[in-house]
Amino acid sequence: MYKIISHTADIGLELEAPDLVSLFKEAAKGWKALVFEDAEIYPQEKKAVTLAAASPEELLVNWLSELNYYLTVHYWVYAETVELRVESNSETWRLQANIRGEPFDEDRHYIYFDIKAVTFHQLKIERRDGKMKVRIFFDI
Amino acid sequence: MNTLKFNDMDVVQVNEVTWMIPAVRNMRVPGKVYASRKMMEQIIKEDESLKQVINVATLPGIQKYSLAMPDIHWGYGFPIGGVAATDVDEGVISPGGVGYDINCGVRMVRTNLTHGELKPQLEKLVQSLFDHVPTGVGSHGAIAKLSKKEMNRVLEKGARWCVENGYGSENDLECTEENGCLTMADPEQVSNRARERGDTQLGTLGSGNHFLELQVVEEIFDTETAEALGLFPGQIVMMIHCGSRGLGHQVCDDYLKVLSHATQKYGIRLPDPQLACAPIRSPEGQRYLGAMAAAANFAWANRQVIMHQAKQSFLKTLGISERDLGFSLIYDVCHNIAKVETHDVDGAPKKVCVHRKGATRAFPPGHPLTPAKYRSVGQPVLIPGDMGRYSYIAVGQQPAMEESFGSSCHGAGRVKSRHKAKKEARGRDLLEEMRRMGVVVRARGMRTVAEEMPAAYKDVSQVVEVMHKAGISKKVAKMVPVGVIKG
Repeated sequence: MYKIISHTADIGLELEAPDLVSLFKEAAKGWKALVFEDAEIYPQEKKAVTLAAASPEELLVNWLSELNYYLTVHYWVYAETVELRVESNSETWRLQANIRGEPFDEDRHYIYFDIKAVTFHQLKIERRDGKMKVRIFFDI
Repeated sequence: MNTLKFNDMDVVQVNEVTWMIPAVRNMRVPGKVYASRKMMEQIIKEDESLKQVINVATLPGIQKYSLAMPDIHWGYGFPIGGVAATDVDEGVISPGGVGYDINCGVRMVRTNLTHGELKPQLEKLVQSLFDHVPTGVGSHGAIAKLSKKEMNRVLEKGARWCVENGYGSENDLECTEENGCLTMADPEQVSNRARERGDTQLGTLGSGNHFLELQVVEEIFDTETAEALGLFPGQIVMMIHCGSRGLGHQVCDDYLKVLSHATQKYGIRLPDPQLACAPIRSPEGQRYLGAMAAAANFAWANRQVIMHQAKQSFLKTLGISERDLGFSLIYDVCHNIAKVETHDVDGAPKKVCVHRKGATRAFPPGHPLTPAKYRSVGQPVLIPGDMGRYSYIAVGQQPAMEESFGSSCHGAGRVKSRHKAKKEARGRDLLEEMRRMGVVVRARGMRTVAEEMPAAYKDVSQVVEVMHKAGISKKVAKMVPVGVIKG
């Protein structure tokens, strides 16, 4: 589950899921809803994503930054996650995902929020009440 | 003496527009905030930005005060409107003290035109500016994509690269803070991803609160200074507000990670991880400084190219000569930056790294870094407001050097969230409302207009007034918008 949180000068997502993999999937859904609201995005093309980080929080920041990068540099819009895996050893957290999306189409894909960066503000992934929870903020 | 409470801390009023937060616990210096009483009550009620002033006061090597301007509001790590100077030998540098949009800044250009002369052609000119200056998220294509070699030159030379490539004149460099180039730039420290995000974006406005505005000089407060700046009542001027685009955002993003590891490596204890920092003299600190300066140079080049594109629009649309147009840069300031400057500390000159995050340099008359043509009046300080009301130009004054590390305010600050502004705009024809107010608006999307509507911002005149009363920057003129282009 994701919820958009909006304060005076910032915006973010409140995420909740049964496990870490689902939390990352919800984060991507939330990112899409925030940036494109309810625009139609067709899952026409596939992309493989591989990321590494020093913590699950950094991995989450890298994951959403990657979606943002596809949009702002390659004009490619994320639609859905087909498959996602998160693994860790004592030092490194790794993410592998297959995602689908399509080239940016100015007529259908109005960008609601321009995310400059995904921030580490108060970022802490926690397990509470049997669920993984996190709040993540964006610089816009 | 008036004292207000913020959490369990005293906020002590020292004069009509200045407040101090005494240094307690792990604060190395006191906090100092410029605000009227009404503003201070609002700041305390509104958000946690005062806590951020207190947090910044704990940074190693911070000198004199952790400062905040009257447009203070909550930001990541440092508050927006925050100023902190750290000792270059003993102190730290923090990307959170600069912000994601490195060298976001403002540029103001004068013309010989009056509002009356332009009015019949206004719609046409605004449309032409919109056609010539790419706007919106991921906007690109103002000039050809830069090769790696050419990008390195931009990152090294800043606005000078533009002048050498036909996008401006020597006067533009003279009238730009640091002459449009931080010489400590090190392009090698800018990642490939940052380069990718920037290599098609030179000369583009972007989105959000960035804009290009045609304004009319509505009121002059100081005739002599206005004349020195080339301003007269009823004159058309142009203001550009934007920064280093995706390249700068990525540099900040990259180095927040690097510096967060460095914070641990050097055993620096921080009250907020977003204050991630490293000693200025450390390899990590030097790498960030080099990359940040390169991004700052990109931003100056960006505003320089936009100005050039805009000039072509004016000439083409109005069909007049360059001489009749009289299009020349008044000044260009950055308001998100960290720079090594010399300031008096404990009665002696000292090299410090001044972080200005949502604050503008405001050097006084006679200062060697105030451009020669303005040395008798002070460095211009450009303070944009919102697109329906007004913006200001002021000049730096001597107390700024003694009180605020030569810094003043930078803008209005939001009062409503973007979501709330959009909700309130539903069902309204904002373009028509703006037109009735005498402002022609062209935007990539109506939603940007909604989130940037005047009611979403504080009244910038109160912010400017506080700095005027504090003697930091003196009001010179007020400008009202008549044409706006946005992302």
